[in-house]
Amino acid sequence: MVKIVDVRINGRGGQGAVTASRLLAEAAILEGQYVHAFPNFGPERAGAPVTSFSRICSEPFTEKTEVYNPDIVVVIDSSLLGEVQVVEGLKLGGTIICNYEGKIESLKYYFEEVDSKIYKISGTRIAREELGINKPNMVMLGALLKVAPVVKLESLIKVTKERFKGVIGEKNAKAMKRAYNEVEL
Amino acid sequence: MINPIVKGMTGDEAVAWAAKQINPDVIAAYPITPQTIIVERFSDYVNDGLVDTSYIPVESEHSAMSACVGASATGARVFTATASAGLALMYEILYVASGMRLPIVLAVANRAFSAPINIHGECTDQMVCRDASWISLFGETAQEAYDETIMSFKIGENPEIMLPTMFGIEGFIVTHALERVDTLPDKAVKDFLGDKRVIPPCCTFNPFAVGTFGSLVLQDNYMELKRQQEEAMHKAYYVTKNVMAEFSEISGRNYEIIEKYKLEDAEYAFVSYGATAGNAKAVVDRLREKGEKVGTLKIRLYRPYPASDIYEALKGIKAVSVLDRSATFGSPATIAQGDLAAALYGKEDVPTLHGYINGLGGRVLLLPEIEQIYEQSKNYHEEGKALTQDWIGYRR
Amino acid sequence: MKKKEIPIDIQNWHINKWGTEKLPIGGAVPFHSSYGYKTGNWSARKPFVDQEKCTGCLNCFYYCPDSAIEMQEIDGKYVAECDFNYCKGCGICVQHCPVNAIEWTKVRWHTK
Repeated sequence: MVKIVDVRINGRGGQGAVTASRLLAEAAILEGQYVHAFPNFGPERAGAPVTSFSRICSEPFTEKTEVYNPDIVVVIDSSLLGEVQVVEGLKLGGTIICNYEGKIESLKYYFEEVDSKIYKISGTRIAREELGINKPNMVMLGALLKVAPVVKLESLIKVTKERFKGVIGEKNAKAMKRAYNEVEL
Repeated sequence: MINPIVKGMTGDEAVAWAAKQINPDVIAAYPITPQTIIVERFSDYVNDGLVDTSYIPVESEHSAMSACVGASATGARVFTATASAGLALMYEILYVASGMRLPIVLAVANRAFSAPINIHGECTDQMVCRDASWISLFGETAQEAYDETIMSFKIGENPEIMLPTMFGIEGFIVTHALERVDTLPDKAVKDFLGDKRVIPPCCTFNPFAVGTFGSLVLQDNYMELKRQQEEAMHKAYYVTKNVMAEFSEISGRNYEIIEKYKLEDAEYAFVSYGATAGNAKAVVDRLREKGEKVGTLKIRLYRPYPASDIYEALKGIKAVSVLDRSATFGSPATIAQGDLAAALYGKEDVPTLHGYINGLGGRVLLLPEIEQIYEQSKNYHEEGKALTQDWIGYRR
Repeated sequence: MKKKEIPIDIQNWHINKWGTEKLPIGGAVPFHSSYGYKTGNWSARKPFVDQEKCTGCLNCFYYCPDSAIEMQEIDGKYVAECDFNYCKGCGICVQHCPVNAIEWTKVRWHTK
C-alpha cells in the first residue's frame, strides 16, 4: 500500500499557515502527486491559533477527512507550545518541526513524553532577516522539506514564485533555501 | 480523449473555473454568507474581462433565483451558486424554475442549516430540495465538481428535458480543500456543450416568439403540466446516462450515474453519496486487506433516482449500510435509506438496509467509525433485522 | 387597431382538453394577445358614457385596467366609449371621470 503523508501546520491567524499548506499541496500537484489540503475553518482572526492540513500521496486516494493523526507537525509560532496541544494525534515516531529561537534542549523540554523526532529552526529570525517581516510560513516549509522530502525544494520554489510575484517570491525562495540548510535536530 | 491540463484547485475554484470555460450569459448570486468562493472567483473573471457574463449581485437568494428565472426565460444560459440557508430561501423559486422548465444550473455547497448557526458540511440542504423537480447530482471530489458543472448544462438543456439541474459538493471538506483537478481545454468544453441552447420556440421571451409565462393555471391544466415534468424527469435518467458516457469519452474519466467499487463479489456494502463515499472506499480497501468481502456504491445521480441500476448493483448482497450525511427527524428511515428501500421493495435477493445518519454540521465520520458500522450492520443482518436506523459519531 | 381572434390551436386547447402530450411545456401560452379572451360577461354593472357630458379628457382611457375604453370621433370631438366585450365591470372609470359622465348601471344578462 502506498504511503500517505499527513502534514499538520499549527500557526496563528495571519502567519500564513493556510497559504503554506496550500503551496505545499500545489508543489505536490506540480510533481504529479495527489493531494487533499485544507484549513480547519472556524472563527478565525489574526493571532488566534489555526491549523491547516495537507495530505499528500503519489497515488490517487479517496480519504476525505481532516487530519487527526499527522505524520509531521509544523509549528509556525513557538508561543503555541504552551497553549495548544501541538502533538495531539501525532503518530508514533512522527516528526515535529518547530519555529524556536532558544536552544534545542529547551525545546525538547516541551515534548518530554513524546516519542518523536524534534527539529528546530529559527524561523522568525530567518524571516526577519530575509523578508523583513515576521512571516515564517515559507521558511518552515523549507525546513520541512529537508527533514521529510515530501516534495522537491525546486517545485516548492516554483509555486511560491508563481504565488508571490517579483521580489517577494525571490526573497521567500532565498529564505526557504536558507532554512533548508539551517534546520537542526 | 483529450489531454488534461492539471491544476491545483479547491472544489469552489474548480466550479468557478468550469463556469468560466462555459461562459454563461447570466449569473445572479447573493454575495454574502452562506455564499461560497464560487461566485467570488467568478466575479474576478467578470472584472478581468475573461467572460462576457452579466453578473447580477442581488439582495437575497430569493432574488438571485428570481433573476435567474427571468434571464433563463429569455433563452440565456444561466448559472448560480448557493449553500444551506441560501438554498432554503430559494426554495419557493426552485419550483418556479422547474415548473417553467428553465434549464438553470445551480451549484450547491452542501452545508448545515441553522440553528445552532453552522456553516460546515452536511447534505440536508440539497436533500430537502429533492422533490422540487430539479435534476440532482452529488460530487465527491473537486474533480467531480468541475466535471458535473459541465455535464449539468448539457443534461438540463436537452430539448427533451428542459429542467433545472443542481449539483452538490460538501462544504469545506470539498469546497475549500485543494485537490488535483484535470481540466479540459476551453475549446473542448465549448464543443461539448455546443454554442447555443436549443429552445422550444414558445418557451422564450423574444420578439419573434412571444408568449405568456407563469400564467394562472388552475384545476384545468395544472396536473397535466406537472405530469409533463415527471415524464421529463424520467427521460432525464437516460439523457444523463448518455451525457456521462459522452463526457467519459472526451475526458477519459469514467462517469456513471452510480459508481460501483469492489461490488462484484461483495457480501456487504456501503451506500453513500458525496464525499462520504470517498471515506467508504478507503474503509473498503482496509477491510478487503483483512479479507472481508465488502464494497461500496456511490449514488451520483440522486434525482431522477436510478432505482433499477441500484437494484442490479445490490442484488445478492446480504446487508447494506447507508451512510447518510443528512438529517431527518421522526422518519421511519434516513432520507437515502428511504429511497433505497422503495427502490428495492418487493424485489428478489435484496439486502437488509441499515441507515446511519452521520457527519452533521461538519462532524467528520472517522474511518474506524465506518468499520464499526460495518460490524454492526453485520450483526443486524444476522439478527434478521431488515431495516434499522441509527445515528453515529455523536457523544452520549 | 386590428383585433385578433384566438388562434385556432389555442381554441382547440381549451375545447378539446389537451393532455400532457400536446400542451406546451412549462405552462407557456404561445399567444401574446388578450383580444381573443372576451371577459365582458363577468360583471353585474357596466359603465355607460354620456357622450354629451364627456370632454374627451382620456382619464378613463388610461385608468381602465383592461383597455376596454376606446375613443370614438363624433362630430369632430373625441368621446369615450366602453367595449362591453372586454369590460370586467370594475368601475374604476366611474371613479375617475372628472365630469361624472359615466353612469354605473346594473345590467341584466339574458340567457339564450
